[in-house]
Amino acid sequence: MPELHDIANEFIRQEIDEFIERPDERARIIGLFAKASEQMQAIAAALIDGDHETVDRLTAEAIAAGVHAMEVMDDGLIAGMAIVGIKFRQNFIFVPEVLSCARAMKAGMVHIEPILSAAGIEKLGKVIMGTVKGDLHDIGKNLCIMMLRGAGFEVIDLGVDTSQDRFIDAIEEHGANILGMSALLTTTMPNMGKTIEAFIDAGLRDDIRIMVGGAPVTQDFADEMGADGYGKDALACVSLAKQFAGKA
Amino acid sequence: MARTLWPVSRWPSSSLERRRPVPDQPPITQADYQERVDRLMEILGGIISHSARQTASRCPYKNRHNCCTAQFGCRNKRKPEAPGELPVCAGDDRIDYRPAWQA
Repeated sequence: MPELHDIANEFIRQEIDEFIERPDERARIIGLFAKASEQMQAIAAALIDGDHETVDRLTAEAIAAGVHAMEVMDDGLIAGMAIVGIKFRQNFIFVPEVLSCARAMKAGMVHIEPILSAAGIEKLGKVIMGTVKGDLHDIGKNLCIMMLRGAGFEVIDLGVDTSQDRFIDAIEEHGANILGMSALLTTTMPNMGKTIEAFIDAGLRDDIRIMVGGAPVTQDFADEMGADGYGKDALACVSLAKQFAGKA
Repeated sequence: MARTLWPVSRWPSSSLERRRPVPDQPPITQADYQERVDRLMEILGGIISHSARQTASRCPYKNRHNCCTAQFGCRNKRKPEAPGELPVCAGDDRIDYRPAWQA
């Protein structure tokens, strides 16, 4: 049975020693990293640290050196996220750190995606995401984006305080057919409806499926303003997007 | 005239703008990829479920150093400990943090 000292990377060893308490999880994680190359351990360590630049560089180097894309996903990126998930569950890290790690994961996936594409594995669809005009809250949206990317969607993040024109331009520019809007404030929530009206005025409403979410948003509100779907959380957001993409 | 360094067929179809060649790799099937996606989604699903519980009492914008990462105003924000650092969060997680958020 592999032991902690079988893992070459000191940072990974420390992370396991300090943060993975449950014996079954500890054994599983040690086993996972003990069989991983030092290069993969380094990718996982950078991901756990939320260091997207290092993940980007190391993943590019590994792929260029001929490491198989699935090995990079298994032993580098997903293995790293496994530790992130455990640390988060045990409240050693919080949402901002998780989102940094997700950003690092995306930096690594940039090098994997062309290989998947060349193998005929396509994205589930393209989604434009943004928080509506006047609203600067982005955590919910960012968690949705993390989930959508994990599920295999290409996501274009427009950030916060997104105008109707910006949503329309993004849909046209990227050729996306799914739009996700988020609002946290009751005062900015009506801007979702105004954006939908802007799509109608632009003659684009029938070309896209629109999903909405955010703390004050309800199914009734979504129906009333003419959205195609309401997601109460990031899991529901992925289900909706899959449904819209015909991949449910 | 622009010169192509790699045969066009080796460019990823959806990423032409990246101008990056696709290295030769043993074949990857949809099932191979789906297996990884399922594993990743299990991890991320756990994260989402826990975040729903955690944010009931702790502001999701507060990082592990108790600093605020929000781009909007909040009455719990205090001066950073050093210039260039994030503002410190003064929320104590015992009362609802949401009323402190400024629209």
